[in-house]
Amino acid sequence: MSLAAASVIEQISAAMSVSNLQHQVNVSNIANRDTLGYQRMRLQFEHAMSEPGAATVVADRSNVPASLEQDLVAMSTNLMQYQTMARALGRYLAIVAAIANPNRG
Amino acid sequence: MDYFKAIEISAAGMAVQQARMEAATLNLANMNTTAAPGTPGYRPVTAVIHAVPSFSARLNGESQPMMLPQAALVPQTGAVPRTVYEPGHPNADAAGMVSYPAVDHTQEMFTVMTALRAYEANVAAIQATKMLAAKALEIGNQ
Amino acid sequence: MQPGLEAIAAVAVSQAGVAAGGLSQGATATGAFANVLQSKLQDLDTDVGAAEGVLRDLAAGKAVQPHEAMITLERARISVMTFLQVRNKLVESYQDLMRMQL
Repeated sequence: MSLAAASVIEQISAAMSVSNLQHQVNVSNIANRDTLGYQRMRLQFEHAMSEPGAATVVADRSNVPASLEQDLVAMSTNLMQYQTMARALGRYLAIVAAIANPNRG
Repeated sequence: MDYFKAIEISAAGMAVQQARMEAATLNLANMNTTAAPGTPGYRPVTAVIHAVPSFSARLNGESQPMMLPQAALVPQTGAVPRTVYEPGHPNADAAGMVSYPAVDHTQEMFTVMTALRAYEANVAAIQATKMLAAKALEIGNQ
Repeated sequence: MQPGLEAIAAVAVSQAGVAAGGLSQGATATGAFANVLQSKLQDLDTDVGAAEGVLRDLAAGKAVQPHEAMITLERARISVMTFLQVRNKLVESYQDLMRMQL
C-alpha cells in the first residue's frame, strides 16, 4: 500500500513505528556488543527512502565494524527524529482540533 | 550546522580519544616486553590523527565536505630502545645488555588522562546538542 | 490542505462570508470584507500546507531541523487562530446587528 497519498497523520504514525523498531535494533546491538555469537541487526525498508514504508528487522551481514560511539550516535539521532515527529504531530493535531472546533478559545 | 552533524562530529572525537587511550595503554602494557637479541621487539605506537571527509558528506557527494578527525595507530620510527645491563637475562645480548621499548611512562600516563578528559568533553558536547534539539521542540509551547 | 480540513475551513469561510455580507448591507465596500477573508484564507492554506509538507518530510526521513519544523508548525497554528478569531468576530458582530434591527 502506498502511503504517499495517505493523510499526513498516517504517514507520521507509520514513520514513528519504524523509528520505534529502529530503536529496538539499536538497543539490542549496543547491549550485545560483547555477546559471543551475536548477529548484529539492521532495518530493511520495502520502499525507497522517499516514501515512508514498512520495515523489517534483518540480520546485518555487512560485517562493517561499528564502534560503540557509532552505535550510540545512531541511537541518539533516531531518538531525536522520534521526538521531533512526536512533537510535530502533537502540534498539527492541535491545529486540526482548532479548525474543527472554532468556537472554543 | 545541524544537530545530526554535530553529533557525528562528537562521535568522531570520541573515537579519536579512544584510539589515543588504546595507544597509551598498549605502550604501557608493553613497557617491559623484551625479545631475543636480533629480533624486533615491541615498537611503541602513536595514534596519528588525520582530518578526513565525513562519512555523511561523502554519501551526499558534497563539494566541500566537513572534515572529521580520524585516528590510526602507527608504530613509532626512530625511537631508540632503552638498554639496561642485565647479564643474567635470557634475552641479553653478547654484552649483557637487554633492550626495552622506548616508552616514557609519564608521557603515556599524561596521554591516558587527557584522552579520558577529552572523551568526557565530547560526551558533554553530545548531551548539549541533544538539549538544544529538545529546546527547539519547545518552540510554540503555550 | 488536507481534504477534511478544507471542508471544515470552507464552512467557516461561508459563515463568515454571510456575516460579512450582512454587516456591509447597503455599503459599497461589500467586496472589501470578502477580500480580506479570502486573503486570510489563502495565507492559512499556504501556512497549513507548509506545515503538512514539513510533516511529510519528517515521515520520509529527510533531515529536517527540529527548530525549523516547530517554527513552521507554529506559524500555521497562528494563521489558523487568526483566521478563526476574525471569523468569530464577524459572526458575533452579525448576530449583534441582527438582534438590534428588530
